[in-house]
Amino acid sequence: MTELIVVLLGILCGTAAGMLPGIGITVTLVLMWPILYTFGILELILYYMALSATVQYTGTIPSVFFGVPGESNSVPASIEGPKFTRKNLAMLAIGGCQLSSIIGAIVGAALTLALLYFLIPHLQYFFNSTFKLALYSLVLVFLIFVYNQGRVFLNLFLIAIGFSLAMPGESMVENGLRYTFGFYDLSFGIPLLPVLIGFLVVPTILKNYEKDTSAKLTVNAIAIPSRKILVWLRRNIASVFRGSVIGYFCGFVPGMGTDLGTNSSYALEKKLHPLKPGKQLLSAESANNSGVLASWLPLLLIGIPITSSEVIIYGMLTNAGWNPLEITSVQDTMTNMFLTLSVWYVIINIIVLIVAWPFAKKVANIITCNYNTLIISTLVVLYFVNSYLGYLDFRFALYQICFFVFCTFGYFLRKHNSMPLIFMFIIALDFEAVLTRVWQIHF
Amino acid sequence: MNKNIFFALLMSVFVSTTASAESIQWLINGSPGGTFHKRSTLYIEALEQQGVAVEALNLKKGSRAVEYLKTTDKPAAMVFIADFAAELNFLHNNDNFVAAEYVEGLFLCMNDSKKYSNTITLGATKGYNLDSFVGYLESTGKDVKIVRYENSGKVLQGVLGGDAIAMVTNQKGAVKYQAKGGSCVFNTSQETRLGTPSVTEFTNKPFPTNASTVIAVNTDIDTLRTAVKAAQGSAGFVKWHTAIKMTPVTGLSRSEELAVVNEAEAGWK
Repeated sequence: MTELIVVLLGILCGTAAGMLPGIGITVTLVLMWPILYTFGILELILYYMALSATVQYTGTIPSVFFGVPGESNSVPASIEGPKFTRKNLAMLAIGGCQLSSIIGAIVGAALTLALLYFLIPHLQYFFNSTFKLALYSLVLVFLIFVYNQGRVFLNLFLIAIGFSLAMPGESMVENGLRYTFGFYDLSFGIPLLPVLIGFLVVPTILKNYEKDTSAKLTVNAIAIPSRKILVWLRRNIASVFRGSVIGYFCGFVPGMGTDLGTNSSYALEKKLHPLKPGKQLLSAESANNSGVLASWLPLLLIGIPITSSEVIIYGMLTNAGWNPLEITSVQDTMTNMFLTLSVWYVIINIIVLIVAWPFAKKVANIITCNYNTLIISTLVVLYFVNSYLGYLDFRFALYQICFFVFCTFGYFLRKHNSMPLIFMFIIALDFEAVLTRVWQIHF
Repeated sequence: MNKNIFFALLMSVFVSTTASAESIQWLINGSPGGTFHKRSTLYIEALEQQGVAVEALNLKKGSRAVEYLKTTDKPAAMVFIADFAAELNFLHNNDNFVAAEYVEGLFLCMNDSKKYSNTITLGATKGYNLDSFVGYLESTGKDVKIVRYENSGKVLQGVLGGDAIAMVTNQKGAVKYQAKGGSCVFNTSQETRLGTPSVTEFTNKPFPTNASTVIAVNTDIDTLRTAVKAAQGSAGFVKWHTAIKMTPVTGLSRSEELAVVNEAEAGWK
């Protein structure tokens, strides 16, 4: 029952997050922090699963109606979707996208279970520090060369800031405090929440505040019979399966999330069927949902986050005491966990089909009313969330200082993607520990 | 009359500063899933079942909980352990010691297939003083490289992942390693534990042991001790002790337990 409530909460938040341009999964995770703070490990994973699966779906709605991508991976939908809307076929596109998302989810779940069958017996070798260092290096390469249109020096600068911010407090391999400058609260490190708010959330929502797209938004939904949607889907089923498989394997690429899979399958369909926007749209949407499960595998199996929202959920999971191998029978527990999660993933996608659309219509009306008011309200809520968690963490003053300092820096970063900074801040201590251990072992 | 008023005032001051165990703050510390956190939550559950009003305060870090304990004027208690007490130089004494929960040896466990290597990579938690273990391994003609980890769970991951050939771990870590098919060379207690012989069968040199305890301030220690000892016999604790194959300390007076704990602390200095 608790699981179902958590899933429904994730679906509701995901509906809103997908509909509101610029809010997305990462901002939602930060906004929901006071509630997520109390969740156990399984609840956190289920919430995140429901949230991200729903966002894949609802992100399509503003894309199809308004040509505004709710999430970065909805870009193909924001190009092809409005073509349907102009012909009063928006509901055909949305219905088709939802069904192809479910097919993507099922294909993703099946591929995950098949892959785990081979991976789990050898899981312990993934905890080798040298192997972990290689994986972290791969993530770093992506952080340096992919983000911010490959502006290497900017990315290196952001990585250096993230690393420096993570240093105060205790290291993972040595006792004793460092860089606390006599400030007791810094012995427990710089808190994650104000870093996320200041460097990630504020720049993201300021960017959208400046764009203010509300004037263009009107919801024009003419119902299409389900049978017609099913027939259309059947005609495009090969593209849907192709997209699911491509999306799944692209999901493993660090730092890309489902963006790479969505865009790759879209590009392939565009090449194969240049005059059929339906095939391109459905293939991209199925790639979205199958890629989600793949991108979770490195996180859930060995604790290496490879996408921006995973970095945040990773921080929350470790706060909740999560440790992938901290269990007596790893093999059984992992198999059971992934079986449970795969089944839930398919269930979630089915619930989304029923729940999300009616709710999404309400949210769409909110955006058309006053988007900028919504952004300002979000900022105020973030301030209170930060203060409340500072109080709970017995470090109210530090949270306040960090909030204002980081938000100021965040304002200047609003034209850049700050993910390299956030990524490095969260993985810095483990990365440092892994690097130290590799040095201790080999030299 | 004046005498009575003075006595009443004195009693009210006494009651306000040393409250009975009927109401107490319990300082939860350690990460969820870890031993400290598990013990904290088990004590809170068991004490509440006994009717004690427990205010749980999650301070996350052990060092922060100790700082809180040093400065608070409210009745407060927390779980503690000898090696950490020595590390923070906040030692168990007659004023703060409530009860010992269990005393355990440390285990030297080794990957059997690699035990003949000339160089032994030895994994351990970052706080452990490994001098005696390194001394022993060197006396057997091995070179030793030390690899440090955040906690015993990560040490186990490191050994299973192939970072280290051997590890120094607590009994919980040894139980898990054995469950994965690993074996241990010795344990530092005076007796065979988990089928692993005592270190005394290998060398006469002193090795550290550990003692898990409960400490408190601003409360009636004897009353709290009665409640804590009853808690240690609760279903939750019995289940957990069975899972990690730990025998709780029983049949000793508070001063005898304190002597055992102080001896364990001394081993870490």
